[in-house]
Amino acid sequence: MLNQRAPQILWALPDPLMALNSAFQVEYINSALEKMFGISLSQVQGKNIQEAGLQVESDWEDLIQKLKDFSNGNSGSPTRMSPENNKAKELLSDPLMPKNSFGPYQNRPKITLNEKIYFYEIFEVLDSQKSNPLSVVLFREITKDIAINDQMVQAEKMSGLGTLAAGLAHELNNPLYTIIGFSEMILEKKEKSEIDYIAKGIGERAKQLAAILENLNSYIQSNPTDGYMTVNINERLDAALEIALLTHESKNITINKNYSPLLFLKARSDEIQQIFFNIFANSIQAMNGSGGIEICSTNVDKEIVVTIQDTGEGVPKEYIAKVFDPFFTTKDQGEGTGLGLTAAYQLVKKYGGRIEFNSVQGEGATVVIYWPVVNGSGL
Amino acid sequence: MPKGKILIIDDESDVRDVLKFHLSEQNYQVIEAENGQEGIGLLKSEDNLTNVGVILCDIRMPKVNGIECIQYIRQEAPGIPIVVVTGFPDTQMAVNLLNEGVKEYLVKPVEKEKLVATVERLVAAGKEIDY
Repeated sequence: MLNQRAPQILWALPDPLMALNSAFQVEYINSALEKMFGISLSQVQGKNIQEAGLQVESDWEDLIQKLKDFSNGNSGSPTRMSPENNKAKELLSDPLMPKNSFGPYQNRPKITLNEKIYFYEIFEVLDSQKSNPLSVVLFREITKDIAINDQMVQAEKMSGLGTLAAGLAHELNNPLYTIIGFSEMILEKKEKSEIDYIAKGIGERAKQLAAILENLNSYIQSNPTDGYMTVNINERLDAALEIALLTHESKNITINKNYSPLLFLKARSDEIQQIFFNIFANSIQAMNGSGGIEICSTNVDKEIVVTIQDTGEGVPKEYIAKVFDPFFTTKDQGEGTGLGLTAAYQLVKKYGGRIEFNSVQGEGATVVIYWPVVNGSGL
Repeated sequence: MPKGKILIIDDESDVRDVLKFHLSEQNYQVIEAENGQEGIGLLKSEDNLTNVGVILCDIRMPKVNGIECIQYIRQEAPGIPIVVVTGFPDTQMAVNLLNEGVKEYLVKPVEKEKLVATVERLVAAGKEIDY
């Protein structure tokens, strides 16, 4: 019978495990935990966890506290930390650093022992009478995972920097070359109409440079709390849409709005509008002058959810993961800087939100933005 | 009297205008294409395979990009010198392209004197081989 061998299985489990009773006495440890602490089951059995001689280098007190909280029922999910703790760190972090080095373990509780890092979770086991609860702590060594993740982050960061530098050089050098060349041409030309044409070209190229720098600025800027106010999401959607439609000479575009009232966010108004504008500009460009945009704003599970869907040409599947990368663009050169969605991504994240992009090539694209509602109303 | 034919492949018409302006001043006859595909087509038409002295080619272009275009031209018309004119100051790419047989790697904004000197040198070198 498999059931009879369950103790053997538990004993041989490669992940360290210990079980404590409600008096915090050690009832059981498996062989992996013996090895981890260099201690045997007989040495610790029946001893209070604080007196059992289990020593770690860091965060042991945190584990004890979590165990106490857990057995007092203070925390239904002891392995989860509140996301707010990490928000401040994210705001201050390097804009080119996509994630913290702990990767998927970022929010998990951890201890360090003999330079190895373990994450753990705590769960409860009741006997057949549904009493005598045991708190079971299951550890998993993640030292290697973290090292691999560190390398990936570094690689991503370097490739991000490389993309940024190369993209920036390319985007700036083309208009610069035109401006320099055109100004040389003006000196040679005598006809007023020719000179007018060239001068107009210089102005357009200079504006293109300004637009690149403006988007780049929203990409790297880090003034976290300047000018915060109560922003009405629907108003910003409308304002951004109006500007996007004006600047892109769009004629046959139908707009379908479905707004929930009273959606507010504490933010910089211009930044929220910039996010929406960048998305609308992409949609309108992707539709080549005709199609439809559906805009939906709502409040789901304590989150503001804004969905913008277009009937444009969409993005091939293999590029979907790249759409937020700086200077990535599927548009022809000169039509896009590749910074619009990057800037939108950074700004959405700045306000604790997240942004998703989905597309079926030939059928359009959908962008969904989620912001947490703070204190029930987003304020 | 025209000194020779130069093919410019660049997707930005402004950039082509500037290149053309600089080369026309020196009495070169300039033909233009806005992507690699069009460039290859133009090269194959009329007497261009024998009469184009130098090709100026951008890298980042829609449809057929510069790298693909250069590889094709190196196979079909290995005798025509190619000069890359790009906004990317990328050393590794420059080395790779020079190994592929590209004669010069110029980064925009490229000075008029440098552009003209490069084209003159390559056109002259081409003639030396002919005779």
